Amino acid sequence: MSCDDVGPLLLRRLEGRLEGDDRHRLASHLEHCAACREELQAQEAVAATLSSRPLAEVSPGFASRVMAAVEPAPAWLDMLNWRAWTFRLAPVAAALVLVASLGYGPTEAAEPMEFADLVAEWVVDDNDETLPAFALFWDGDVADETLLEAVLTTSPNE
Amino acid sequence: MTRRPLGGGVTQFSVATAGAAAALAGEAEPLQSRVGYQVDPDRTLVDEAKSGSLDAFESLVRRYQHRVVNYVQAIVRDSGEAEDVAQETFIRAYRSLGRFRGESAFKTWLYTIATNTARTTLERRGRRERVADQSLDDDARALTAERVPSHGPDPEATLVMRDAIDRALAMLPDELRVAVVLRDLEGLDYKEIAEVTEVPMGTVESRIFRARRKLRTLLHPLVHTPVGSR
Repeated sequence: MSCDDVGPLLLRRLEGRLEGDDRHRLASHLEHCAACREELQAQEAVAATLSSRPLAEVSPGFASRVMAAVEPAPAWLDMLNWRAWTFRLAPVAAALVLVASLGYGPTEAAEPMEFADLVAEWVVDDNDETLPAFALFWDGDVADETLLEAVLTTSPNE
Repeated sequence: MTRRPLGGGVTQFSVATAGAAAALAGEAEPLQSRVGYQVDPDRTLVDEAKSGSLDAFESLVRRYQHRVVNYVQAIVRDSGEAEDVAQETFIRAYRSLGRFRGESAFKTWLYTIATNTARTTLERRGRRERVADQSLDDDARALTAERVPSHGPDPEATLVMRDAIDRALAMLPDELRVAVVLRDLEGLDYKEIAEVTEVPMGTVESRIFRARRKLRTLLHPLVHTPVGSR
């Protein structure tokens, strides 16, 4: 065995992985080769020096920064993301549908009324079939004579 | 903090020793199977993370943050940039989780991403730092027995030691540096290094052997063996 062949065997011997014939061959070579014995010691010493290297420091919050980078906070541009908003507002929409289905929504709007009818509704007596005189003022179809007669014949107490 | 010494039986189980060191640093290292075939200890968390669990992925980040930062710093040598590269590594890992099929251990896969991310950083940087004529003797004098206390950590000595080693590592070609850092700093076995660097095991052995021979000269004030003529 020449010195050029020794390198891998030295490594395996340091690792405790040298067995059988390779082990014997290396042992035999090292008996007669001071340079390779020295190389074996040097390989071991360098490995030990490297393995004694102090660990690097990791700043506090490193893991939190990684997670923040992995899942960033939504930016203002996300406001334009309609898909995201659709997804986010879906629960609100579902709640509104539920409320509406339970009958808590607004009632049917009343039909618009003529002002004259509205006044009549406020003041008309149940037994009185005639419109009070002042209600005729808001009725656009009433003739002037009719209106004058109503005013002259109506009691102040009505 | 000292790392584990070289010894016999470098297997997946040797990671448990590094795991004990990590546990001292506040990270939980899972128990590993002691039966012959190797079970990925991260499989449960990885599966949960792939299903969308951010908590699971954060657990993986906390489990490996020290290792990844430590590894990246030894490769890019810039401690300020190391955390940025490490962060980029985890982000890439998160985005690629869907493509991780579990054919290798998660740890190995993560180191692969870290290696590629660090390489990209070095290429972007454009040049390797030159420390050619700068001797390490100043660092060695700073670390003489008279100054290093026998008990308790010396922060200054720690920084000097780490910087001295990193400067020596920076002198190596990238492929040698990656191989020897993965072996002697990170404790990966040869099979794992072959997977990370995507070269045969014989090439891994050759790179580590040549890297240590170069470092023998570069680190000689720190390495306690005589430097031979070979």
